[in-house]
Amino acid sequence: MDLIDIGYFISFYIMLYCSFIWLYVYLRNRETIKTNPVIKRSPLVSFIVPAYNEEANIENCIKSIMNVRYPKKDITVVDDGSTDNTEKICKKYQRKGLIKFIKQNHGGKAAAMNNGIMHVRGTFIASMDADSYPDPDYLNNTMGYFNNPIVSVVTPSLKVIQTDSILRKIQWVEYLFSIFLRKLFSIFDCQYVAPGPGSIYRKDKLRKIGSFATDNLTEDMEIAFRFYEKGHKIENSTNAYVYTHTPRNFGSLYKQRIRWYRGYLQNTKKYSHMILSIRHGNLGFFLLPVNLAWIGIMSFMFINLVYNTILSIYNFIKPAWIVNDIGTLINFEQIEINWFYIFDFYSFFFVLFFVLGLLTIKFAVSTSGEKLEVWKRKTFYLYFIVLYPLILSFFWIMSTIKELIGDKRIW
Amino acid sequence: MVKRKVEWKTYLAIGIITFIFFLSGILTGLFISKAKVDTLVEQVNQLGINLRETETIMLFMSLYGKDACDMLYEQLDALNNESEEIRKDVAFYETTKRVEDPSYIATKKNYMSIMLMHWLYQEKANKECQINSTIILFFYSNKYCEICKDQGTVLTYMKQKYADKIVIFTFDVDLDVRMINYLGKLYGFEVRENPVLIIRNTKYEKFLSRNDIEKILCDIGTIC
Repeated sequence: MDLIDIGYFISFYIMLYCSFIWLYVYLRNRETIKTNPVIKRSPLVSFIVPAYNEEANIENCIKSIMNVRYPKKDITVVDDGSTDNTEKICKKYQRKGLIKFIKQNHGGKAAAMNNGIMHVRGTFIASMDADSYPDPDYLNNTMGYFNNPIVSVVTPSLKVIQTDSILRKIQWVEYLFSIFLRKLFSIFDCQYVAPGPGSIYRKDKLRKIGSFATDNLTEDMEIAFRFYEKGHKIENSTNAYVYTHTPRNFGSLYKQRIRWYRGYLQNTKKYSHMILSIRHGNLGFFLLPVNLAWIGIMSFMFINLVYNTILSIYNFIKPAWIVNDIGTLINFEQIEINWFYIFDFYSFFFVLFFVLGLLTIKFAVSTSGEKLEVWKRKTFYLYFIVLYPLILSFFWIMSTIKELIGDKRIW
Repeated sequence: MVKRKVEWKTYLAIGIITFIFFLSGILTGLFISKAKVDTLVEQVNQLGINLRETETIMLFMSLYGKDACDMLYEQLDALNNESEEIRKDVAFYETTKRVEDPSYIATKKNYMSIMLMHWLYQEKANKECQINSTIILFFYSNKYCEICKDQGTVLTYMKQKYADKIVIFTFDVDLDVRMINYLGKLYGFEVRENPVLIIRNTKYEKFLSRNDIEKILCDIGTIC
């Protein structure tokens, strides 16, 4: 047994512990996980849509908000200095009195949100990305949570619109996982992200804790951290759907994830005083330290996997190279497929994690209101199981390296 | 404002459940390792039984002077195939093992002793039955000799290519088997960075490539 084995044991223990915690939270609350409190009052909700060069999406976004079934709502689009036809499209709706339109110099999404907050009348503010579209029942499934006066933020459930590439198929499953996990985080009172598309805030509380941070890569995470730190409750609805566009190719996904994960690291550093703090509940005492451990585990396993893969390929090719006979690649050292060669010291853990993984997929899909449809969506699940851990680990390693070496942060 | 609490009871209860599963995983791993060693023990014991059959045939031949060479040839061939299977399993076990098992060392020593006897019977059979196979002795060390793995690869290839013309016996010098140590003294070698091969009483203290071995086998008339 060497250091690598000890690394695996520690990783397995942490992974098992986390899996069981979330499994327990789910099973204890599975009956109520998809139900929301009934709305008692219907105060005005102001949608703020920051938009930067969104001519392709802004019209559909406005239309989808107009289709949201809720008695009192208004829409404000903040054009963050677009150079395309965003303004022209918005002005068309402004002339009809359907939206309020604000134009500003390019200052980023957080600045656009802050500008919007200054101009809206609603008691509640719903942030909405211009490339995202809320479901008609989006507000009916969220506003009931505000019956409780200590609730300051309610987060939605994001779903992927297009599934036309391998990466989008993977993200489709990933987003269902996020719906599932975000709800469990909310139940366990440790939610630390209020996603840009669709989070709803009490305006008075938002103004009280301050504006969106313009110097942060993930301002939606920073604001959630701030709400949490100041003792506000963040709720989540598993059926307040917001449909969003996701990156289609590796380059754009890489850029997005580097920003997200560096944003997470940036915020963890900013709120590092919460780590292991009992005063900051399950987020401070459990989730933040565990998330840091996860980054370590992913990096360790990814590097180990890459090393072993290269070694296996080398060992596969090496005999042919040593004896200078390509034919040996196929029939060299043929071994029988029996238990001696299949089962390993770690077999129990692999089987256990496989079963837990399947269970989690099942629970995540059902929580997010989708059907499992294993055969129809076989490629989705296959890509997700095989490629997602690799891609995720790679992005986390790159984000950590970039943050450690102090690479320039680009929104 | 929310007064936040830490769910100690949940953390503790899940900690205990995790520990039970974790322990089950470790115990299953140990059980699998033990079962693998037990399989190797069983295989080596079976090899020992088959070796005694060879011994019986040879004793019969020397006492009664009967020609039982065909039977002996078949028996040695079966023994070769069997020990090759064990060699593969041993190699796989050694590269994938996570825990040291003392009974494995004893089993491997036993395997080496059987291999030594097998080699001696093969030498005797070659003489008495005029079997024209060339015997190659390969001495390796997992501790000191990195290139010994490559030498093993070359020899496995040679064995596949010239199955009926060469017989290879592989000996681990790290095991401190008296006879292997004696052979080291007799031929005057110590396995360190390089493997040692003995082909028809000639010692080679270096890595021999496929071409090197084919040339040697050609020179002594085994394959040309």
